[in-house]
Amino acid sequence: MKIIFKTIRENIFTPWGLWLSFLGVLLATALVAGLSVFWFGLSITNLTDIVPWGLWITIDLSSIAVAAGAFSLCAIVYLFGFKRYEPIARTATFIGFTGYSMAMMALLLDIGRPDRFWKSFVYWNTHSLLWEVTMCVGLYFTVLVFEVMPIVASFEWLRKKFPRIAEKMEHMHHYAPVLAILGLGLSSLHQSSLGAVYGVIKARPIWYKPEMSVMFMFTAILGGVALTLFASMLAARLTPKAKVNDILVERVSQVLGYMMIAYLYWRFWDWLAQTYTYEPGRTEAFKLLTSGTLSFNFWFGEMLFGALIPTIILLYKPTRLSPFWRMLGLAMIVGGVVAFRFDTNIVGFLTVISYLPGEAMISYTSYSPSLVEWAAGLGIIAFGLLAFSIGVKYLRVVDHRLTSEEYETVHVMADDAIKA
Amino acid sequence: MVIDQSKCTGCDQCNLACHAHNDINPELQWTKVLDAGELNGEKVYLPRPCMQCEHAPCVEVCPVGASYYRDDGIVMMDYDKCIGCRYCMVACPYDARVFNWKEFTGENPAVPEWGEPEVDRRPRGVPEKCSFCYNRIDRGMSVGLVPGVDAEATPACVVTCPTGARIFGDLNDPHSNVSLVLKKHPSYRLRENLGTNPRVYYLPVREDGVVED
Repeated sequence: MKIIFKTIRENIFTPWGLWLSFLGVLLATALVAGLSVFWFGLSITNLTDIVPWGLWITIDLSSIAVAAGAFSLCAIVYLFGFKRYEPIARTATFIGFTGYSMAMMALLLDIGRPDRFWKSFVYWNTHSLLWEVTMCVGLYFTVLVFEVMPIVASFEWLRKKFPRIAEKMEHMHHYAPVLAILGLGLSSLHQSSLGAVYGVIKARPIWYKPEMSVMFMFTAILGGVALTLFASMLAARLTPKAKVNDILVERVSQVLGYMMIAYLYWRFWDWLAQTYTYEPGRTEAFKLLTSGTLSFNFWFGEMLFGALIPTIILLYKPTRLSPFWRMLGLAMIVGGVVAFRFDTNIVGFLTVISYLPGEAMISYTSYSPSLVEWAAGLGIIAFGLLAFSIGVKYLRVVDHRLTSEEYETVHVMADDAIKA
Repeated sequence: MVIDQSKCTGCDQCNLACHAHNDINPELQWTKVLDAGELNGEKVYLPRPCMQCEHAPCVEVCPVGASYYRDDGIVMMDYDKCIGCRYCMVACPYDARVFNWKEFTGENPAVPEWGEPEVDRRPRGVPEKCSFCYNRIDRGMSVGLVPGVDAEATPACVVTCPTGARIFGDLNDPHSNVSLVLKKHPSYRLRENLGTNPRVYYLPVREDGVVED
């Protein structure tokens, strides 16, 4: 016991110790908040019958979005054959695993009957997009568990204590292409269906459009890849344990920049088309974004700092080559995606459409998360940061020196024979 | 169900009977009586139960199938299956669903003046909604009564309405009271453009002040 206290005393004031204590405080607060939600119920949140989905759903949507780097980069590496990006895919896989864990925590908090969460896998309503999302998230998380096994296998302690288990887990790496195909399928299905969850709601015209699923898919890939690159670069600056290959990161950042142009183009038409006809409720919700309570979020969070400026940063060579500017640009994309998800979710609720006949009466309501929601939500984010920090420190999650000898995918025997 | 707005006085007795018979938390409402403006200086009301849509968005979106159609078309809730995700509340165009943010404990203030509870209380963490008092319909029909004709087989709100503004019956039967009323008078439904095909029809207040009968 004394030794433990001694180690804590000696290490608490190192940057690592302080960082862990900071996350620990957030997690402890979140634990209290989470337990009180389970104990007292959702009445202690600021959610209402009018705004039934709030901050936690935003965290759920955002963490699933920024976890999308896993399937995008795994597909690039294992299916399209860009093998040199493999170390980045490793980081993305770990972030994906963490992101989906966060999303499931947020959902567990958010549903009214967390004790019945398993029913969502047992009882099927195949008409429901949320059913599809639930099934895909569950299955994809299983795929991620297998994908993350070779990473966990690099934990020194595990290698020493249980060498056989570690070997088995590392062997999982040979199935990477199969897992990548499964992951790509399941991810594409649910990332877009997550948008369609909103897109099919005819009662709320701002959501009711087919582009919803495309927008969600698009923002997920952008946010996922951006977060993977940003987190890798940040880790490399903070600890010698993380090593990045700047050429790889720079190359992917440039591609991301071009994708941002496509996104801006698409987004432009997506929003302009909203104004073409007067649809009661849609125009009003659109106004809430452009000039109402969400306008700051929309113009600055989503448009200026979330899309326009990072596009320029990533496409203008001098800024892209500078690590500082590149990191800033990547972080802005992540912020933009989170802002997009927040606005999209909340705008549909804040615009209340009356069902009284005659004139279309539209009113606005407001929502601000309660302290409990913030505490639990920040705790979920702290969990993500903790998982990534531990991954960097002990699992070599960000290590671009790893070569394909160590992490080769498939040995093509036929090829050898031809050469010989 | 047909609701005659020219007869509704906004007395809220349907709501009270509903609370008693379905044992609803006084903070929640299954059938709201809304103000719907004025005509010729008289206030107009719009009582709003669950619309029991033919194409109910809540049933379509429920991930676990806790919302479902009965054979007679009533949109039902399986309170034991529900996980409380609230997607049905997001999807309902009529705000007909209310969530049990808290557990309803203690006395129901509407009991016994407005009736006795006939169904179990719902637990915390699930949404609930009007069920057209399916329990009264089933029990009544099992002893040969006709819903909408015999009070014991008719939803509590319809029975209690002092002005007879609510009319209940089988829309599939062309000779039922509701079918005859709808044949005779112009009617409308809420947010018909959504294609949900609600089974609650409204008879509007007439400009000339004539009360429908």
